[in-house]
Amino acid sequence: MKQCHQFTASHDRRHWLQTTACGFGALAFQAFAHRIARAAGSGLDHKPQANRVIFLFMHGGVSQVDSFDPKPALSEYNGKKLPFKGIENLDVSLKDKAGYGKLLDTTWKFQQYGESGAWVSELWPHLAKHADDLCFIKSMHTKGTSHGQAVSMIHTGNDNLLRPSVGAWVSYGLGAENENLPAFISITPPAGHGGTRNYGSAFLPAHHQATALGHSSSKTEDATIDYLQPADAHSAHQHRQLEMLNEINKKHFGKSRDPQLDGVIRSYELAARMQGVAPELIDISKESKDTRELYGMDRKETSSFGHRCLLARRFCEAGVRYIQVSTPYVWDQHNNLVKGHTKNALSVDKPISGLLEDLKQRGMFDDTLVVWGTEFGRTPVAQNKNGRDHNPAGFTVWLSGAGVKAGFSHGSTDEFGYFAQDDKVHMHDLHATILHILGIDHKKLTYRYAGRDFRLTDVYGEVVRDILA
Amino acid sequence: MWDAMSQTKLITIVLSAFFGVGAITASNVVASDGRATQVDFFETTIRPVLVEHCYECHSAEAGEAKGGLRLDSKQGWLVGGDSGPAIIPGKPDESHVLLAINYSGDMSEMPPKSRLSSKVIRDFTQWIEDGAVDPREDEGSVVQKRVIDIEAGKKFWSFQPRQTFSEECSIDGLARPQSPPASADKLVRRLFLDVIGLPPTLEEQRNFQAVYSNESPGRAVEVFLEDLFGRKEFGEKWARHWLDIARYADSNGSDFNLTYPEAWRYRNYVIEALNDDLPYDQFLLEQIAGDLLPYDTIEQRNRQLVATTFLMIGPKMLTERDKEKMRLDIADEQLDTISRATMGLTLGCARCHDHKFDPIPTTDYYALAAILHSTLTTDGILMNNVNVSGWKKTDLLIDDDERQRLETFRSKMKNIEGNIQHKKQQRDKVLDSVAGVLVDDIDAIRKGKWRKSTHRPKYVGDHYLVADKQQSLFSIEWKAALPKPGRYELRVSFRGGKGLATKAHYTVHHAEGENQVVVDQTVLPSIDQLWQPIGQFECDTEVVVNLAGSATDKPILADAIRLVHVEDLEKDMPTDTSSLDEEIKHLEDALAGIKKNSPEIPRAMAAQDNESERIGDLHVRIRGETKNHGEKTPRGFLQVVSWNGAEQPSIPAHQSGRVQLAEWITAKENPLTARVMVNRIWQHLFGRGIVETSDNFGVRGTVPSNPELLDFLAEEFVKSNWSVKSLIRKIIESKTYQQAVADSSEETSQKVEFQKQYRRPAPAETLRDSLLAVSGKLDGEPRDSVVSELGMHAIESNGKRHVSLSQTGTLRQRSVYLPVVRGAVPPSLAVFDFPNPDLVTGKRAITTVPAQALFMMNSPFVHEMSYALSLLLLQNNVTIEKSIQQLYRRVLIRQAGHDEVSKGKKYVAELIEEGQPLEQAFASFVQVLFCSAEFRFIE
Repeated sequence: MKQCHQFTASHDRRHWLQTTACGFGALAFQAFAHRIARAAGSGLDHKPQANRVIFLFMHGGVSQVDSFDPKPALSEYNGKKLPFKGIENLDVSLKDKAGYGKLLDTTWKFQQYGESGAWVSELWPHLAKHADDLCFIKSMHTKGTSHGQAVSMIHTGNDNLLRPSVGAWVSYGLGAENENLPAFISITPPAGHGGTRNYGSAFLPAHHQATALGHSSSKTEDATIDYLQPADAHSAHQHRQLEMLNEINKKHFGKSRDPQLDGVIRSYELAARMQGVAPELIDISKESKDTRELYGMDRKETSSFGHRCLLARRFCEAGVRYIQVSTPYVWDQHNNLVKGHTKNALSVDKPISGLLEDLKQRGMFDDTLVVWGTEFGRTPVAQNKNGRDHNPAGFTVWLSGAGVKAGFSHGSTDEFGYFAQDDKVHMHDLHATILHILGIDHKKLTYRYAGRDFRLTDVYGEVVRDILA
Repeated sequence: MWDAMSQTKLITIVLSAFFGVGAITASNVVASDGRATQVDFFETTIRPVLVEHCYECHSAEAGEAKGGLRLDSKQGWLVGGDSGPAIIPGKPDESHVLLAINYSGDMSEMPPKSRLSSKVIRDFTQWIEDGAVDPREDEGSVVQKRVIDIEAGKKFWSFQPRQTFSEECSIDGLARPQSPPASADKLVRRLFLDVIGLPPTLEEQRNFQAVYSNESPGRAVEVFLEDLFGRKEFGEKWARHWLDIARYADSNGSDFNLTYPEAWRYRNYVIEALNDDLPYDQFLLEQIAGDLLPYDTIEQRNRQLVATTFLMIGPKMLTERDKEKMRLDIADEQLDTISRATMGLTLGCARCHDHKFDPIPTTDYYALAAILHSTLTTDGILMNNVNVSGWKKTDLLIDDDERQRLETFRSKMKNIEGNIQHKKQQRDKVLDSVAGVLVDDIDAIRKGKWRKSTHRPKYVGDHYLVADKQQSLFSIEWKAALPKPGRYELRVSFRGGKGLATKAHYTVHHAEGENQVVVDQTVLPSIDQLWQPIGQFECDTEVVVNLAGSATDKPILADAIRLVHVEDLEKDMPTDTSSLDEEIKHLEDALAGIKKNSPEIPRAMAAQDNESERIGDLHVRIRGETKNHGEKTPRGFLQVVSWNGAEQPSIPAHQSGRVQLAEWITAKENPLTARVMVNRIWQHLFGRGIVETSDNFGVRGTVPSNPELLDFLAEEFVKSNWSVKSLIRKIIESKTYQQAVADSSEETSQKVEFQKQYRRPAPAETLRDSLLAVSGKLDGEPRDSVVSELGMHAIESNGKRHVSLSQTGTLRQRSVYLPVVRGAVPPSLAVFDFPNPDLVTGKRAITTVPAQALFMMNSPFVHEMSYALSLLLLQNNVTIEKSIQQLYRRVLIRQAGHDEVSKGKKYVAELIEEGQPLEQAFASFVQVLFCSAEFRFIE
């Protein structure tokens, strides 16, 4: 805890630092305070298996039965009625009066890969090569039949009310690894379906919210941190300005010794450091040709998401705790499933497998948890002939890297892939598991707001111990 | 590991089966054979499942049984848990246990991890049908439910009546200020920033200084406060404090971030209410129930309608497909907002279970929630999507002149529309005058997907039909009855054109059989550009014409058919309707032109009571689950918030009860309302409240640091007829407010709260408005609304945002007028702790983060202000020294020290030496002062 020597002032000042954020110094301090709490036997701590998380968010709803959860029964019963009642309020237009939709077979062939024999459809040829690195959860279920609800659910653990996002909780719980960078970065986050609330801090102190790079429809190469650099005309004399400012502020502080004023001074110093570090991180021009190709940056179809994944690896290396990477809102195939999913999978398959590969090559795979997820799956029944509706009742996510079993599959859906059936994992459970792998007990990471101790998993959530390495 | 676990489970099952056998033996003695068989069935089939899958959470051993339900004894399921009895013998359909294991969606799914096999579910159904015989009569004991003791709860300080005070009592008497008065410079800056959110001008500074030193600090404050209260800037500053609490926004946020084009009226209402010093009780009454209040004038009516926007502007999950859940969610959001805003109580918890900390049972929650549930908030649909709910919009009243204007306009429109109708009929007549038999599409039989359209300029009747691109069967069949047999020419109508199908397959059934005719619809028909003859046929008295296909790539049109006897063909000269066509077009253009400039009835986003059948009490929702009904609770208020003479209201069956709710909240005796508001105002003038948790006066909040002071202020507030200005005046005119900021030396930090003043960061708005004001760039004219020009979407689901939302940096109005789009709060405010507009925020977070530093150093806005002020200060060719002195006066509201002037001068000179123009160099220094901690804090 080398940062803590900065905080040796009066009790009053320390108290203030604990209750008020003052930049990354305070972040580090808070993290330190947490660790003290753990050591004191609060039980918050157990040994973390991962030091950071990369969360790959597929916005719109990826179809599980076309990706990782093959259901031979679909081809047998293609076009026939679902033999049980579907989800209320879904597939309304296509159900008959009794509420039974018609099943739709998958277009894509499935095959088993690796020693683990994981099933992967031909939508994901590159990822298939990593079959033995992946840990599938095929019995996911969540809350919310519409995007707004389910997107909010996966990001914040609540389908309706404003709550801190997963990354904000991680930042609050662990603080930053690199004092010149925020703990939580969101690369091109979704701007719709709740927008900022999906990576916000809600009632947690504001510095726990993600620092965002653009939003999901931004051109990746334009995505940057707001006001990171001055316009050219001002950059020349900025160092002088900062010197002058520092002098004036220090004089002002000297009169009062008010720690709030010290906080301002520190925030300018940190901003200046961040200004030095972050642009370089965002600038990928020095990455080798091989690396770019690994991420698919040499091809038009994959360059955008490849770029996003490469940025994620760079932030990862720089010590950011929680990095989210989002696709645009493209996966919502109520129609044109074949064309849509083909195009979307193509755009992310190579970049994601490149990311896994790169993390391995750089030795970061062992302490980084990669989570691939989507707000909900899609129904095995047809919508509009060649489409599927939302399905919060059963879908697949996968995890990879630190803390989880490799080449493993947990849980299952029913024979058609509609409802999660065995070893069901709720979104709250996934959140609890992610925190667990980071060394946090989800029941103990709380924040008091409006008289209540809030936590990411509300009153729910159970760690999915079966998947832990 | 796995094996070991399975073994343990197995043993448990075996053991329980073993004990079960014992039970059978015991029962056998007294029971009939039938019962014995059923007990046997229970022991062998039901009990093992309960033990294996349910006891973990629903038994005495499990400790606090989940949902209050225990399944380890008969008594357990008979009494049941939160949802009532869990099994109804003989009625599987009504037994919650069965609904739960069935994963039917009506109850929580149990067991939560995996569904039981269908055989087990059949067994349970059977068992319940047969009377749910359960021999476990004496096993376990039912957990006692926690009961809230309301009377004990009332003893908590905030529910107690206020203390009363003698005449001599004063703020200073209670707070006992210990620090000297602030200097004139600091006091005038504090006064201006706190009251109007803008810094004093040079002249104001001089005048204040004069009174301060010639008379007294107190006198100077008095004189200027009166002046500031008279300015509209007062409301513009203080409105923002209320808007934080009202979670004001110009868009919905949430799942569909749609604009609220009418929300700004409410914002202006709040500004005006503060400037007019509308009594706070009236202010609340109007916001909660303005639509139900009597009125004398149109203005009053409209004001009261607009006030209820308060209820409407919360974020709503508009795509929630379970609409009853959505209505309960909305009522919840409204209730939580009202209770936190006015009484500092969080009620949300009591939606699912009795409040764990505050004495608020679930029944109290639903008693209140029903009042809002009886209120109409969402209404209709948006975006042409049945899953997206819209919200209520209400026409405002207009005066006679406006009404006249509107009526003139409407009759004018009606006139033209009538005229167009008339001409069209004329045209139809001309077309109809042609000999023959006409059958229009409305008399035809169609199958598959057809869409009505009036898009094309010519058609028969009210519309024509289009079969759009599709992969399915579609057909239309016209049947014509002919006056006599003979040879007829068949014509079909369609206004042909580009993009249509090249092959429309017509089949004609006539006396001699049937013929296929393929028509190219891209070609304009030969008669009147509408009618295409497609052949002559021998006919009896009936002809059937069919247009069909199994798929089409291009749209196919279907309109009318006509059969003309060959003898009449000579008479059937092509008719010319072109002059009529022209007239119609002319009229339609005129109509469109008028519509563009139509006077519109102004609308408000206002609440109203529901239709009477949707008004009424609510059932408690067990665990907050929409479909899980508990007892029905009469509408009413919180039992714990009551006083001598307070009665639960009688709400008439046909009213929501919002008036009664507001009257209860604003009753003089309500122990919370006045305390909460005076604490909020105090907090804004000291940077901290007497109760630190200003939105939580419940058990989990902090207790007041000076309870007498709080009660004294509350008493005074109520006595002064809830006048906000009087209260602010009382506080600001106290010595306590006027004290100097005591710095945190050991000695001063020991001081009791409010024996000194506090240094606090200037709020985002004050910072931005000050930058604009001192740079001479502030546009003092309010702006109605930015979002009303944006169309429906503030931000689309794909992230596309309207360009004007990215350009809020160019707006020069005061901050209160900037658009508050959820998810796109202007960065100039957002980085400085502007609250998240989804939440009620009485106390903003205070952070000092690098994002703020980056904004101050690098944003075009700050650069522009710096440059503008630089030009302003340099304009009269004054010396740099003078300019620097002026700069300190304007920006920091104090004299520059000699040292500061010389350092500033040196800084500017060095930049000039490096080749910067004077204005740039000076602007660079201006920016340094803008960035300074001194500027960013109120002292």
